[in-house]
Amino acid sequence: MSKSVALAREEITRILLILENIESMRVEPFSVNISNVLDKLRSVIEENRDSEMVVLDAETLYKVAVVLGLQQRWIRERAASLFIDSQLITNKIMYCSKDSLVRSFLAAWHPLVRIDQITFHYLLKGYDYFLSLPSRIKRSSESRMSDRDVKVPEWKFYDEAEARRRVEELRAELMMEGRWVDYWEFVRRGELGTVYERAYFLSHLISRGLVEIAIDMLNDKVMIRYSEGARELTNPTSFVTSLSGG
Amino acid sequence: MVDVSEELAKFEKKLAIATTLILMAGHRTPGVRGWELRRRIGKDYQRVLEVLNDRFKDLGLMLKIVYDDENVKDFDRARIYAVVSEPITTSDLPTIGYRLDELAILSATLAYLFTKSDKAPMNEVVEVLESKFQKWVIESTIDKLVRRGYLTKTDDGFLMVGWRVKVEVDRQALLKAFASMGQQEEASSDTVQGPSSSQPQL
Repeated sequence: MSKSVALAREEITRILLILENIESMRVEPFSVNISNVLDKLRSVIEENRDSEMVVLDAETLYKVAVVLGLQQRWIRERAASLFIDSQLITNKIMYCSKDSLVRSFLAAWHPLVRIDQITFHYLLKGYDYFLSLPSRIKRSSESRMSDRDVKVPEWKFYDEAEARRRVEELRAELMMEGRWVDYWEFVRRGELGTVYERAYFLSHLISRGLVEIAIDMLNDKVMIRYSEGARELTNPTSFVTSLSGG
Repeated sequence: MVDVSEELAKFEKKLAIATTLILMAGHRTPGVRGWELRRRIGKDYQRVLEVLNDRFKDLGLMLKIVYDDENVKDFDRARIYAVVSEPITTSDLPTIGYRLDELAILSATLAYLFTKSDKAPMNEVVEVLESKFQKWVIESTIDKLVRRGYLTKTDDGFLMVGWRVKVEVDRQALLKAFASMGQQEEASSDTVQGPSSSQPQL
């Protein structure tokens, strides 16, 4: 490596170090003259066009862009802080009383308001949720739980014809209603073990537009209604329900 | 025909939901995002916030909107908080759990950081504060303020402004108060009037 290349590389590395110090805010953004740095970079790259130098040059250019951004921010913040500098603040801290420091802060302080404790409403919600959780106690002869309480759904495998029949049955059931029905009331009809099955087949009807669905976020209600025929869905969205309490 | 009383009841319910979401601190960070309010109370959530802010004013509170990026001002991504609108007095401080020394250190640290683009070496800040406080008091108070979210320490020994300062502290008002601190000294009173510029922009 020639001496001139080594010197050029050393110079760029030094510039990079200064720019990195500015980037990490150890040095003020205007402590470097950007146009001098760019002139220097141009002369170095014109004299040495090897790949290593080009990479170093590109890295330096990137850092220059970062420093320009910091300079812009510095000017904006200075304007916003009424050009009060750290030296003035240091003097004020040294010569004014603690009371004055506190009073200055109180003039600008709007403490956050928040409630950390639980409300009665949320306590009731939590209690409802607790009741809906399945028991983790193993069944024993002394268990006071009835068979219905602990019944889990029995999964069945349907062939296509049987599945179609079940879907049509559900649709007919909804048609008989002829009005908006609460989703949860509808899927919970029948035996305990059929809740999952009814929700699953109903989801097919809803996806195909054969059942209309309306969601009332304010009252936390989901309503469904029989629909005459499949409709073109202009803006399809997914809606997830949890049957864990089910 | 639209039933007015029904619409009003609906709007009141929206106000109640918005108040709950803003005040309840379920997460580590309180407040609520704009999109969370939109999802829960509908597209007119900004109108709901305007009305809620008016109601809050009667109670000495106000809504504060903090944008992720001040240049873009995306309301959906902004975080909305409730803050005290009326100035706190020094006699209220023991009741709300702050000591004079703690607030004096916070005040001086923030004013210094504001003039240093919100970030300065920790030892530099301690050095400035040492003219007024003992070193161990400064360090333990800074640790406490870091835990409360007012300041952040970085691994490379820097001290930065924390998330809570963006919500609670009016930067310009603090610097103005510092600039006029000499005059304040003589005409000191217990109550300090806050600046009018701190009203939220809804």
